[in-house]
Formats: sequence, structure tokens, C-alpha cells
Amino acid sequence: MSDALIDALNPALFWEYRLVLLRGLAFNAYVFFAAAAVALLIGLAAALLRVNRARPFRWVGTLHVEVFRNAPDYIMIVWVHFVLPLLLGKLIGQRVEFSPFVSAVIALGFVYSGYFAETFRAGIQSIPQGHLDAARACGMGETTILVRIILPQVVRRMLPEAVNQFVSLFKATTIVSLIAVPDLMYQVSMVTQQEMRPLPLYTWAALTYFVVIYLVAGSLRRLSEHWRQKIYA
Amino acid sequence: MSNWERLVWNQRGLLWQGLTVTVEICLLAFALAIVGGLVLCLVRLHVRPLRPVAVALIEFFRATPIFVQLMWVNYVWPELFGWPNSFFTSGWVALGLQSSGYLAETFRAGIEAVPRGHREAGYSVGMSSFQVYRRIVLPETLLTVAPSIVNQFTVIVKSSTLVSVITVPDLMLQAMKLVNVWYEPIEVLTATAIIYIALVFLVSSAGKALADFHRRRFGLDSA
Amino acid sequence: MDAVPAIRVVDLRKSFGALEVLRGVSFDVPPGSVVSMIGASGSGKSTLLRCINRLETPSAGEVYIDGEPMGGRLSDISRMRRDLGMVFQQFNLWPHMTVIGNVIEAPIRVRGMRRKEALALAEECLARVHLSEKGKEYPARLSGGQMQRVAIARALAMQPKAMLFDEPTSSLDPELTDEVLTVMRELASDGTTMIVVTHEMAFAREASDRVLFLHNGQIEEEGLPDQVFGAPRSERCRQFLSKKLQ
Repeated sequence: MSDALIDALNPALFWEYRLVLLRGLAFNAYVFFAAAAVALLIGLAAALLRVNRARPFRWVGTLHVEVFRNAPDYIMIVWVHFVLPLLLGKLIGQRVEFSPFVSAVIALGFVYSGYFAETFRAGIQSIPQGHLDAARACGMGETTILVRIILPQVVRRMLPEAVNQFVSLFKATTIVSLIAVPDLMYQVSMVTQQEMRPLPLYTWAALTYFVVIYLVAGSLRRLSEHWRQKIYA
Repeated sequence: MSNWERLVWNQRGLLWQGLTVTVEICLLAFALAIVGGLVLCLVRLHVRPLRPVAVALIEFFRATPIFVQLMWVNYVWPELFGWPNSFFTSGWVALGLQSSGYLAETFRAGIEAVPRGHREAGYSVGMSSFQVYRRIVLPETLLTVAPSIVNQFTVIVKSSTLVSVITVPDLMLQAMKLVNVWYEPIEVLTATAIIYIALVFLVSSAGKALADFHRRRFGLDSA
Repeated sequence: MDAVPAIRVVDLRKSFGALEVLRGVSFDVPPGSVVSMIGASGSGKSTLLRCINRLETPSAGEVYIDGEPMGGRLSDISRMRRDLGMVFQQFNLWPHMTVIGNVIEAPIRVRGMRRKEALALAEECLARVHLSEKGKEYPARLSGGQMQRVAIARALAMQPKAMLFDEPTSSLDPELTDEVLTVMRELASDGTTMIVVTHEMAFAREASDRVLFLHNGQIEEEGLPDQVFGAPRSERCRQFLSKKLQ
């Protein structure tokens, strides 16, 4: 076993291909940022629907959240990549194709919009009614209240939970290799097919992801705590 | 005969087989997650010399993406340890280890949240540390963390779709097989997605109902 | 004829880091007597009580329970704790067990009693605190006063040599303190050995055999209730009482 262990921990092969592999990691980042943007926007919209006074809006919001929070990432990516273009194609009478990158962003964006919607909703509902009453009493309009009173407080309250969701989303980007987005795992499998040495490659892929995520998640959490302590009463 | 009938309803036997494999893998992974999480947590809290090892394992299992862990357990472990010797085993071991990292932290938060006074009440009637742990700390912890445990089970169910990549014949793999044979993905994949969503929804609803029932029974709902 | 004191404290000292909380406290508690401890917050009363059943470890000094020194191995401490019942300010009932479950837990687990015996004993104890009908309830459904009385029953179920009360009514709404004080007075008149840390001056004056006034970790004044309350020798005690009884 110790020979295998030495082989597994040998960074030489990983290092040799580092440029290719790093470009793969960059793709994880691209997918992450794009999907995060989608997830935040749609999640916010869904959250606002969920707390709306009108019942049909609330119902739509709840449906959105329940469907996407309970959907596995992998099946959604596959569905968006293979089924959605066909459905759209039938709709507009023309052949539609999604690039793997677009499919990944749409799928992950929508799935994680479900989680963010819940995070936002909890944040919105945790704001004391008194703050809103005071704003209305001053004659503030609903949009102004949303932007100046609700959103800033929601952001502050839900930042730790949101950081967790972001970390999860980044981890989820590793499966985009399965629809041929050239991320780190995709490159690793390509190199493995060529070099036939899975031990060091997969071990170092795991270690790389671990280090990146551990460090980034840790600093994000510390930064957000620091920022929250400064302003949050 | 519509596509739905041809591709989904007539293949329901295959899909059902896949579903049973999915459920099996999820239950095994869940068992490992709970046992592993508890062991890691207790070692971290009470076995001082092994604490850094426990913390390192917890952080590693949590920070590494599930797909990466799956590949690693499946391709690297057999060379390192001579085990697992089947894809099915790699599947539930990887899923279980990842969740054990999360549950270890969940248990720790729950244990630390048990009020000190409850422990002291136990000590003051002459209970030993072990008795206090077994009869007071752990049961109260379970009450508090039950929702998180249920949540982790839904995470396992969702992540289980990835074991199809290492050719475990779960629901996802059966669906993909059908798609590759018939080249008609719409009905099969939509049906599969709906089944998974329904399954996860069922598990989380059941868990929530169970948790609510217990909270009401102990009178812990906001009275 | 000098009976062995139920509890004897000799020159007890306790520091938390640089903070000296107990600076040499000594007193005896004869069996069957009620000793009340009064004093300002931070005077060390609770710490003193918790040193007696070793929830806090003294920095120096000795505690004797029925002649035996409290301390040593954990198993010895656990054994001696069986003979001391403690009632906490925060009640500390175990939320996942019923009232009766709370009361029979220690007799079964610690004294090895059989379940039937323990249940009978629990019924008695609950009757003593006037809560016989609440056996099957869970603590979260009880009022504060009821919870504290269950806590008393739980401590009584171990049939201790002495009962320690750590500000038992301080967490209760005013209208709920009476039911607890009534039970405590009944225990006192039944001959239970009790040490009571309290802010309830009326109880201290009327139900105790001795009163100790603590200030800054030392006993400033001690004696019969009428003497401590009526004609205190210490100036600080006088000030404390005049503020308290305003």
C-alpha cells in the first residue's frame, strides 16, 4: 500500500499539466460567478413573490422554491442541456442548442435560486415590523423601503448563510464536466485517459479543491463576520 | 402509443429497479454518515491527542466536492487500501463520508447547545459523566439537530445521482440508458427529474412532520 | 451531645483566575437545621453552595459531608453527591423526559432502584410538592413555579442527607414564588437539613435556624434570624438589609 500511497501523493504529474488544469479551475470559477449572478437575481425575485400579499404570487414563489430546492443538480444540468433546447426548438419551430457552459449556468443558477430564495425570505421576514412601520409613517414609498431599509438589513442578516450557499454552489460546479464543460475535473479525466495514472491525478485534484475551498470559504466567512460586526447592531 | 407510454410507462420496471438501487445506496450512506459523524464529533470533543486528526478529516470531507470525493474513493482507494471492491460500495462510502463531515459539525453544535445547567442537574444527583452524556446530552442534542439530520439525508439523495457516473445502476443511470437507446430524452428525463424532486420532497416533508410531532409532544412548540 | 454536622465547611477558598471569590469561609450545618445565606450579588453565596457539592472545586479548604471529606476521585464525588440534593435557580429540568421521568431518573440510574419502587417513591415526592396530577406532563408545559417544585421533588427522590437551594425563586415571577416557598417551609418543618441561598428575606427570617450574611467572600455576620435581621452587628449587613427591606 505504501508504494501506492507514494504514487498518489506525487505531485509531479499534476504539476506537469498545471497550466491545463489551472485553466480548468478557471472554468469552475466562470461557471460559479455566472450561476451565482443568476441564482441571486432569480432567488431574490422568488423571495419577494413568497412574501407578497397576493396569494397567487406567494403560490408561484413557493412552487419555484420547492421544485428547485428539491432537484438534484445533476439531473437538472442534464435536463437543461438535452431537453430544454428541444422544447424551445418545438416552441419556436427552429433547432435550438445550448453550449455546455450556458446549460450549466442556467441549471445551477436555477437550482441555487431555490436556496437563495429561502435565505432571502428568512432574512426579509426577520426584519422587525417596527422598522417598516416607521418607514411608512415617514411617507416612504414601497420601492424605497425595499431598497433602503429591507435589502441592506437582509444582506447583513443573511450573509453567513449566503456564504454557505456560495461555497455549495462552487462545489457544485465540479459536475459540469459531465456535460463536457472543460473544468478541472474534465481536464483531470482527459489527462488520466492519456497518462493512465489516476492515483496522483485524482488525489491532487481532491487536495486542490480542498485547499481552494477551505481557504476561500474560511476567508469569506471571516470577512463577512468582520463586516457584520462593524455595522450590525 | 404516445412517447410517454412507450418510453416511460413501459419501462417502469427498469426505472423501478433503478429507484430501489438509489434507495439502497442512500440508506447505506445515511447510516455511515450518522455513525461516522458521531464518532468524528466525539473524538474531536473528547479524545485530545486525536483531535487534529478528527478536525482534519471533518474539514476535508466537508470542503471537497462530492463528485471529486466519489472519483477519489472509486479510483484511488482500491489501489491504496484494496477496498472498495465494487462501484456500489464506492458510491455509498463516498456519499456517507461527505455527509459525516457535515453531521460531525451538526452534532458538535447540538452538544454544545445543551444548557450547562441540565448537565449539572445530572451531576448533582450523582450521575457519572457517561450517564449524563447518554441520558441527557445526547437525547437533547438529537431533539435539536433532527431537522439538520433530515436535511443531510436529502443532500445524500440529491448527490446519489452522481453514482451513475461510476456505472452504479441507479435511477439516473437507467434513465440515461433509455435516453441513449431511444434518442428521445424529453419524456424520460422529465419523468426522472420529477421522480427525484418528489422523492426529496417526500423525505423532507416526512422529516419535518416527525420533527414537528416531537416538538409538540415535548411541549417545545412556542406555547 | 454533639451530633456529626450534616455539612461542615472549613476555611473554604475559591479563586477564578485572579478573582478571589471566597476568602476563607467556615461554618457547620447540624442535621435537621435550616441555614439561610444572604448577601449581595457577587458575594460568593452561589459559589460557596456549588463548592459543597463540588460543582466548583475549591482552591483551598475542606468540605465534610456527614463527616466524610468531599473530594477525591470522580467516583467518590459522584457517590457523595447522591446524599446532596440541589435545586437550581434555572430549574434545569430535563425537557425530553416527563415530570415523573425526571424524578425517577436518578433513583433508577444511580441508586439502582427498580422501576416500580422508583415510581412509588416519585409519587410520594410529587405529593410532597403538591404536584401529583402533573406526572405525565413534559416540563415545557409547566409554569415556572411548577417546574421548580418538580425540581425539588427530583432532588428529594434521592433521599439526600441535605438539600442545597441556589436562589430557587430568583427566576420566578413574583406571583409564583409563594408556591415554592410554601413547599420549602414544609420541608423545613419536616426536619430536612437545608442550606438556602436566597433573596427572600421573609423566608430567611421566618423559616431558618441560622442566617449567614456573606460579603466579599467572607461571612460578615451570622447568628439567629432575629439577631441578624433585628440587631446586626456588622455595618455592611445593616446597609444591605435596609436596602433590601425598603
